[in-house]
Amino acid sequence: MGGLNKLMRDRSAMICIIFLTLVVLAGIFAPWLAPHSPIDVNVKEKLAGISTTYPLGTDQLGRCIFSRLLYGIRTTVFIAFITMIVTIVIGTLIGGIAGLFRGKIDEIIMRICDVFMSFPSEVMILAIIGMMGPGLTNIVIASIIAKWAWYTRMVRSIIIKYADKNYIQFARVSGFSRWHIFKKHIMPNTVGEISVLATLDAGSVILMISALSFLGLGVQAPTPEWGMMLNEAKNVMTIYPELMLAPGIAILVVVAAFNFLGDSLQDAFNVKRGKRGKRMR
Amino acid sequence: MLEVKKVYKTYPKAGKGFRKERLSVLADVSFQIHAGDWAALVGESGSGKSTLSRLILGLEKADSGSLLLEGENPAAWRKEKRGQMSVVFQDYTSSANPAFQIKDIIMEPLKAFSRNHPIQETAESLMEKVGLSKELAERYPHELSGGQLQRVCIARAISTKPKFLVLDEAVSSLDVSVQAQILDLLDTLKKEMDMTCLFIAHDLQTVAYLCNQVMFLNEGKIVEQIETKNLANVQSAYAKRLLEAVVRFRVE
Repeated sequence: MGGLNKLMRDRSAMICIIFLTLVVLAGIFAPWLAPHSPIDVNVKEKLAGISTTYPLGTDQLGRCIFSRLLYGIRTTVFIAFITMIVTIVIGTLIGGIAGLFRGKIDEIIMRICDVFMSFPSEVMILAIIGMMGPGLTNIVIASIIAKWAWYTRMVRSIIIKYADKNYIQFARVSGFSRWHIFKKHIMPNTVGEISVLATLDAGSVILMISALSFLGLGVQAPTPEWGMMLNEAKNVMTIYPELMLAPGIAILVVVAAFNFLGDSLQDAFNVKRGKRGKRMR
Repeated sequence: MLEVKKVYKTYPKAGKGFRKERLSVLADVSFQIHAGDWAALVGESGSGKSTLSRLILGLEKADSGSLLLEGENPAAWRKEKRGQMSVVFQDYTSSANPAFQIKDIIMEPLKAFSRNHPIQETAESLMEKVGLSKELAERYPHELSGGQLQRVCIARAISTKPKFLVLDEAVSSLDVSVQAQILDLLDTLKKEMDMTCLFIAHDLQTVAYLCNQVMFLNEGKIVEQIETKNLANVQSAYAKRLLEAVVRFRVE
């Protein structure tokens, strides 16, 4: 509870939370908010500047950039969320089993993780997409496969860090059940740290999905996606470079918001660090 | 009450390639503690005291030999008699969950086991018992001093009226004046409560004050077990050396 209070008082964290909530809401209500269809081509109006009909202008096919940005939230941000959630669930389950039960099962899981982590994740993703073909579901699956081992390791190390604490030893000695110890002592601490991890990583997942779409491996045209939009803007870079600004800035701002929020969460959930920080100020 | 027979314990050595070399920590340790005794286990750092305490608490298993608490394996005993075994660790900073308030830390075992015996004690009465003021009940562990936090740990350890208590260097990391206070506190608790205690320490002064039995542990072996009142007549060279260190200090 102390962590939440601290978060409420942290101005930059609140700004990030409000901003990200607005982004998500804009994505959900895109059909109502968008002034135009994101895919309808209108060549007569191509590369229009900012105007009341086209708040951010149009691209080389005359599509409304603002509408495409709004619909792009649905692909870029939501796909990133789905990837994150699935990875975290897998990582927490497997990492939790490894960290709580230790012994042989831990050893086996960790060696499998080692194998997965010995490939550079970008190369692995490219290889998986190369095999399964480009497409939205495939990049989600590829990034989950590339990431789960890292999460499993992190969750395991967090759990082990707490399992060695004296208060858990004390609880074991007093005869508390494993479940009680897990519920009261291990879980509350780990949930905080895992959410910090996830928030810090959300930005990089968005970047990764955008990057893959930029390379033409992820979302396929004409579906609006921020990395895809950058890719299209690249084609007219010499005659109309401003086209790259809108999707580029959108990616930058959302990723930055996630990273700032992750930092604040880290401060909020770390009791001792918060105390030291106060003294320094 | 506690019977330790021919216990051996080794740990794998780190960084020695694939060959499994093991470091022997305890070798052929045997002793007995009778119900109601306050026994001290004295030895230098690295003599295996903490390992022995972890074995007795049932947190680890011995390689061979038997440890029996009232004729049972410690891990089984403590599961059967929840709250009857308790411990105070040397490192108080990690002995309390930093997210809990002091009153919750103290009451945790008691609340969980209240089915077995009705709650008589409250956080206040326990805090009073260990000499902590009531205002501290709402605080968090990092807002307390070392001595205060160690008192919290003692209050938590005695809350369930344990039969068997292990004090694993419970006073060693406190400064001398606080040590004296804690020892006084333990002395009063000893008179009030009926329990068996294993007091682990690295210096003789602290244990001679409280315990009626002293065991000397050196290089993984019990070199001598003697009653405190006969402490002057120790036989083994190691015990003599420890004792001399104390005397010399007192003369100066």
